[in-house]
Amino acid sequence: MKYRAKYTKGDNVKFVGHLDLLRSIQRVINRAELGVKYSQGFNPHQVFSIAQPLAVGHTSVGEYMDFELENDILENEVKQRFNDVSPEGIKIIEVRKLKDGEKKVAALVEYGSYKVVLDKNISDEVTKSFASRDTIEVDKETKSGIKKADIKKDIVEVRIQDNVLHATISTGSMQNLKIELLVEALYTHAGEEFDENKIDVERQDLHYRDEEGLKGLI
Amino acid sequence: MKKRMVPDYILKQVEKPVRYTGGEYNMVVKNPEDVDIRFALCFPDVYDIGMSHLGLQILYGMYNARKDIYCERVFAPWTDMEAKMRENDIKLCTLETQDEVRNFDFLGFSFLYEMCYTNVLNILDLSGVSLYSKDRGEDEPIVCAGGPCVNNPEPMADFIDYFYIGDGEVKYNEIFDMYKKHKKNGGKRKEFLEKIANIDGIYVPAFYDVDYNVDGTVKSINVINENAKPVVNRVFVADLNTSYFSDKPIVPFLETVHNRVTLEVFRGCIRGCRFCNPGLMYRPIRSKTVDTLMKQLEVQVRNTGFEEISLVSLSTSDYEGLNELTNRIMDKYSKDHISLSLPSLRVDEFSLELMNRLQEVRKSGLTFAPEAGTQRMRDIINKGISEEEILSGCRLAFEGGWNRVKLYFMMGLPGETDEDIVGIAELTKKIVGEYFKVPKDKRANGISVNVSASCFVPKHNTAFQWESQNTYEEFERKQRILKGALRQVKQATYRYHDAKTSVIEGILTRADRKVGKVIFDVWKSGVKMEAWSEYFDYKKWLEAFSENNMTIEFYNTRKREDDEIMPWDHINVGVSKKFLLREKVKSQLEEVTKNCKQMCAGCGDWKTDDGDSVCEMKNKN
Repeated sequence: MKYRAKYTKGDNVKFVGHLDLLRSIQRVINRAELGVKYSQGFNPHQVFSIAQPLAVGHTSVGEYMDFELENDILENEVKQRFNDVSPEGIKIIEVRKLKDGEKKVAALVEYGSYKVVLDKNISDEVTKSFASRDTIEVDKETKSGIKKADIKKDIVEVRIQDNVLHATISTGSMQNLKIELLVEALYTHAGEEFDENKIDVERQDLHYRDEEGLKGLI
Repeated sequence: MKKRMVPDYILKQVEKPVRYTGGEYNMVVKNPEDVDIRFALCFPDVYDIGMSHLGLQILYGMYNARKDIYCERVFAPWTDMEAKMRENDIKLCTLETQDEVRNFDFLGFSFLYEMCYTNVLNILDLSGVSLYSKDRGEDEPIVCAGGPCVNNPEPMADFIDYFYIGDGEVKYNEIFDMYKKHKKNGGKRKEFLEKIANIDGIYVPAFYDVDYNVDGTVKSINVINENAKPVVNRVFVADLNTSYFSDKPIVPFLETVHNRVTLEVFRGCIRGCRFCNPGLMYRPIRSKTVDTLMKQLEVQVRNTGFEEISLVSLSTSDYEGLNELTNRIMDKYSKDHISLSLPSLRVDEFSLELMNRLQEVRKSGLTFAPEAGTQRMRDIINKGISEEEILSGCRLAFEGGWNRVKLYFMMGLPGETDEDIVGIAELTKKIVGEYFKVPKDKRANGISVNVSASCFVPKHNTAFQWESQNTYEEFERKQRILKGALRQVKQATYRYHDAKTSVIEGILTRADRKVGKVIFDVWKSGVKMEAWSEYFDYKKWLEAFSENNMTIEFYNTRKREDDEIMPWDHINVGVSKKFLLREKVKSQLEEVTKNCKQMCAGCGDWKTDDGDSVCEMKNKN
């Protein structure tokens, strides 16, 4: 039986790197004795995948993973058993069984929404004028060096409230924007100096888009 | 937001910030207000190394099993974090509460290797605790140390308030009970140390004074406080089946060196290799039963979710129930995709059936340790293994489909000649020859042999404690000989390390109290993290010795007389000096001593307070 879970990465575990987090979750699944399915082959591994890696130092209340269990276990029981033996900060919020043929979560995800606590005062007007620009050029690091890129198309929404930035941007395998790049562009627009170590980022949720608009992954 | 030693924006700038944030599964959470004693348990190296240490997990769980103690962990910050801490005047904190170590009742170190000594001083300094024991004020933690190195505590004697000699499981309750009473009564630190000084296994160095002869050797070790004992006896657990075991080991987020269930099978070693310090220091021989192990394993596997189990001891192939144990483990856990690994097997005990079972889940290379290249040399060190046994063990492995073999040797052993060095290459060649004897269709394609030869360090409390260590130049010369000789074996790769670390280790392991000042000066000059070759600084050590008008030759290349008083002679580790001297003579005669299973060599008494012998082998013989 295939499952999808929405889970958190709290303040307590925000410095755990992506690969370390994967291993830690697999150990939670072991402890929970959920009877996870293993792949066939020379080096069997748990049938398990997550939507989109979260940067070290970011927290999240909207991470997703898919996994497969040998048996059909009630959704709430999966959640309960996982949370009973998971470290503080890594908790499942919701579980849903997947139907046959549903896309994997990693293939589905296109957008992420973020909440960023800023270290500088950025006004509502400045943010609005930033968001209404025709192009927003930034220096993007690529394999072949730093390149100018227009990130305007990657921004779905950006607004500010009480010095907290709320943004929805491309967060998928096809199109991806680092949230820091957006904040840096906003700071530059506002004439402020940017230090990526001084902002606090929390991912709120991940989405895909259909005819009706942005949807949650679960 | 969670309280942290350093602010988040600093954590974002250092490598592997998760080294400093704690919160791992099975970390013990207590309210410090609810306990009487706060203990900061320190492994003086970086988190990734320290968290792989079994002893730390045992002490952590055992101390915390007491309601009145909160034991928390502290490690050496990596150099990037240290720089940030010093820049921002931040004091070292524990992982659990992120409280400053200097406010704890105890700061306890594990001394696993001598090269951590500069780190110990650095950690004291980063914690804001006085480095020298004599300078510590009433409000500073009691600084203690245990672990294998403390069987010669002398080089660190000036920095440590008390040493705990022996198995940690034995005397901790007594010490903590005394401390609780002492704290309630508002006693002074010296009074507490006087109270514990007559507990077996406790050594308070300030209560002893050392006199030296004009040549620098020890003249006498004198008790200068009436509460201290003239000889401190090492303490040991009588029965490992009933002693504490950690049922909830911490599961690190970070990929540490050994990230797995570590099951201790037995303590002690039947082999008596004459170069080996732990082989004697963990005697007598005490095993857990297979049933105990299976019970403990089940608890640990379920409480951690680890996907690998490792059996540890000094020589796991000597465990009587090994076949039964591995069979039962495999039967029970393979279906859950949990693999089993054995650290290194004796080549003469190599069992194809066992290895094949182990490889059911994953296939990996094999490691053998012949230690020396010629039979003469192996007899001198009492390795107790013949060339035939080595070759047939390797042949079995090749027939079983293995084609990657790691071989461990030593160079610089007492009585060694250049032929013995060349002998390493010759033995390697013969091992490769065994591979080619196996018919092509029965062996795996292509062989690789990894030869590693470390530089011998004569350790305290061994048969070789009187011997001369090779000089750096001598080690280098021998490395060149071996490199040349191994050129003719094209399937072999030769790995060796710069001998400089071994030279300094050779000094520290047999050092006296005078060397404490040298360690201090080396630390003061900025040296730390010396277990990491990029931070080790040989020149600084040489400079510090010469500035203190001392020579390194006095400590490493000087041959000691049989009747010389060793700096550690007031520490009775249980193995008698008479036995060590007997072994020294036998090594010179190139005579082998039988292993404990074959015949008791009478290495020590191993009696409990009731007069019963604890040694399984002695009781059997």
